[in-house]
Amino acid sequence: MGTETKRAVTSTQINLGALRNPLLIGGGAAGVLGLCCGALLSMGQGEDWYQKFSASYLVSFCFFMSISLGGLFWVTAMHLTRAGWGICVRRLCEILAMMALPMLVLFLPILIPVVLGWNSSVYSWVNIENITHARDLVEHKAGYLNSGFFTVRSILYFVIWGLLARFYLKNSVNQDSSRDPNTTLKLQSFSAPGMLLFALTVVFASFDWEMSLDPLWFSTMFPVYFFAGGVLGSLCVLTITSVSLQKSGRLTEDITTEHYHDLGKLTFGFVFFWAYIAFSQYLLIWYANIPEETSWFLYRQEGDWQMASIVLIAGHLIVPFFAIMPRTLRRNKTYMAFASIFILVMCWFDHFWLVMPQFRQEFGVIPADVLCLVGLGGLFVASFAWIAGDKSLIPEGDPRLYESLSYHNV
Amino acid sequence: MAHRSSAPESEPEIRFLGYLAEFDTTRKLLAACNQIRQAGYKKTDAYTPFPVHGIDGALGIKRTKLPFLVLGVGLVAVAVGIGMQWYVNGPTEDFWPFPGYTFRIGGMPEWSLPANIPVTFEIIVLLSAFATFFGMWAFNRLPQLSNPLFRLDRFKRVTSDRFFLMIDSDDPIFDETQTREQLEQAGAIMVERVDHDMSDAKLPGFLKPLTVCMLCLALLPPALIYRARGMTNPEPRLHAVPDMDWQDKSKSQTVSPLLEVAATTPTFLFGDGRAMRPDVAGSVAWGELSTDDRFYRGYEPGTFPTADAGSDENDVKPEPQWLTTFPDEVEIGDDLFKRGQNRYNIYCALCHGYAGYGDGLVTRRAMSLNIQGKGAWTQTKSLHDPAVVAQPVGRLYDTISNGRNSMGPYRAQIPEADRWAIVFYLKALQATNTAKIGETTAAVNSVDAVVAGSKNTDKDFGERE
Repeated sequence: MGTETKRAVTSTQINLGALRNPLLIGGGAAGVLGLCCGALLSMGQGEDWYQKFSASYLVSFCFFMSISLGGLFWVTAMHLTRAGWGICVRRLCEILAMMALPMLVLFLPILIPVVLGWNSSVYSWVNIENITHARDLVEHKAGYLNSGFFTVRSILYFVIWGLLARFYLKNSVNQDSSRDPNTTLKLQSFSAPGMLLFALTVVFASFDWEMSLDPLWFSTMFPVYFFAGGVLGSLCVLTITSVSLQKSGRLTEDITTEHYHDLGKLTFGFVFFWAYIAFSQYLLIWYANIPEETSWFLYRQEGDWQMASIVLIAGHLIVPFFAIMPRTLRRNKTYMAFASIFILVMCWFDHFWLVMPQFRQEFGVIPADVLCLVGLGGLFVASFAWIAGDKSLIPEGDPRLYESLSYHNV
Repeated sequence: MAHRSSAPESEPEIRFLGYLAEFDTTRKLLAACNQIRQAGYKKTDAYTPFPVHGIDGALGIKRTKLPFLVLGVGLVAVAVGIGMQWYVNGPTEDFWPFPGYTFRIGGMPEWSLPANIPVTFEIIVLLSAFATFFGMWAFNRLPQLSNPLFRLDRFKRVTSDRFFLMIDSDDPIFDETQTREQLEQAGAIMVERVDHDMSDAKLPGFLKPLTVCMLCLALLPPALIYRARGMTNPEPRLHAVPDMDWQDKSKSQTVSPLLEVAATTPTFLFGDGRAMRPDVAGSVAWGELSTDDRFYRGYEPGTFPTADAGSDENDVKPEPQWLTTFPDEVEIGDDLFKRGQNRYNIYCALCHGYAGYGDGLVTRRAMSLNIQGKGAWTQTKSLHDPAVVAQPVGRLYDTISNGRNSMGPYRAQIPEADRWAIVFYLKALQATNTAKIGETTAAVNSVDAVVAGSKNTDKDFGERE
């Protein structure tokens, strides 16, 4: 009846082991194939094919990047709050966070055209002289929105995320063998400045990568919106990863219904948090009714993109909100895995909705969008396998692991 | 109750409430709870100094139904929140008991969902919190003003280091000796019989009159407010927020702020001495561009006479080329007819009369005053006058917009679409007078759709036909 305390990990296999190579090769192959096919398909589309392709690419890149950042957030937040419940899934978060480094390589297709000042860059402000509409306003922002500063900033984000992630993962892995409780204290004491660094970098990264697609539009709520989507996505990835690892015979005894229940509760909370933030952003702009702010929403709210907005409200808020509301369903890990897949699709669609109206008149998902998702998804899985390596998938050496192992929801 | 009221007050009424078993560890308590539950007892309760994990399962307490109550209340709160705002701010013109306030805020539609979501959200949160809190009370039968266990000396340790299990004597399988034995076997260090004197659980005698007094006092503030409604007060009003009452700003139609008074001429912040800035030359208010002459002014584009055209020798005021058919924006049909009838009856019928014979209430009164020599009113024109019947629709529209002779302009009161609706209804009124049954006249021909609409109102004009 919950009184017995489980002191140690009891699963027979707690690392990827034989699964590692198939994931690396399969993911890598899917990634290369998907991206190549996507690029080839786009090439037939006239002179600015690269811009069209990189728009599709940016959607999926931002989607996976936000998930990786969600992982970093959870590691930092768990240390910051000395959370006991989530230690069982913290290593998965640490690996997710570490994927910021491979993401740097995957960012190059976006970054290089900016550095070289190509006209086919996804960001219109790279060549201000090509802008026809309200160019003088964009020129006012040129001090911030210029190729050089953008590149420096982007690299800086990745450096900070990489260092933070490496700091957490390396110390945590060392603790597996050393069992030194001081490591936990060190990680905890660094998590507060870590959180500040995380917040600042995510704010400006979302400004740079997605908001600046429309160089005239601005919303200070945008980073929170980006963050909410990423945190939600990372929770879904945690659920899906845990369930699939357990299906393949790993961690079978140590991630329990209680942990899925908690992940489910947080998913539920962040589904609503996302909607809360989305609406907060919308309401202020709608009420103030200032043309330079409303234009962004107007384009998504009327005409062809209206349907996309309706899909987003229904699929990203209403359906998941009621679908994962009942406690019994939240404690069913198979159900939660499928619900998570649905929410992940919606998170991707959310980025599609943020990015694509800047490039296309009509709403529709084209093959290149899907191929980029598949390609980057494959590389994402491969880099997960690469980083996980032979590491234990549960922080065995954490002095408070027993708290998580014998955790019970009241 | 009946028994107690007949008995003398001093006589104690002892009731046997059940057994209270005392344990010294949570482990023993949980084990005992499990045993007692498996023995089939239902009316049990445990008392502990802190929440004990697993006690719900051990006692056989089912999961609470509270979430369903909260969900239900939350969904009701959606309807309450939206409904309240729709009733108060929405376009509910003829809604009982009062028509609501249709404020147009920030240029948004009177009823628009985004503006109402925050309030709805807060109402959901508030009512859900109430449902959670008071639902928890209801499910736990709170507030319980006294608990007989509080009188037991041993029970006082429940706040520090002892754990108690109570079995109610109402339980169907309760047995005075057997239950005690079962509790002792389950590891209780002490089993105590709880007898309770119910006589002193009565409410103190002064409480009833006191409650009545308090309720009467509570009626005072609303009574005072009721009395104060509509009253005037000679005292100057209180200024609770002075910086809102006296703002450092210039109001419209006032003199521009004075920067300095030079030797002779004062220097204003704005050179023209006005505080209010005039519109930039050529600026047009949102939605008021109205370039379409046909719809907005009732004549063919570009036919408005120039300023010098009126100065010919006959002194006949030249007129533009009035529309003879309705502009494209006006959708001919029953809806237009009904709208026109509605607006006509509001704005025109007072003088022109419901049927258009120039015999409205105002006209009748004015004419009777004329006869008494108390006024010199012009007889309102009959709309069935051949001169009026012959007028093209554009001309009629212009008359409504800008007035004619002693009739004032109505363009400020009646929007363009409604003016066209009135013209349409007017044509229908005229048709009822000139058309004979089965005969198509020129008047009807020009607005043949009118006849379809006017049939609906035949009974209104039956006596004239």
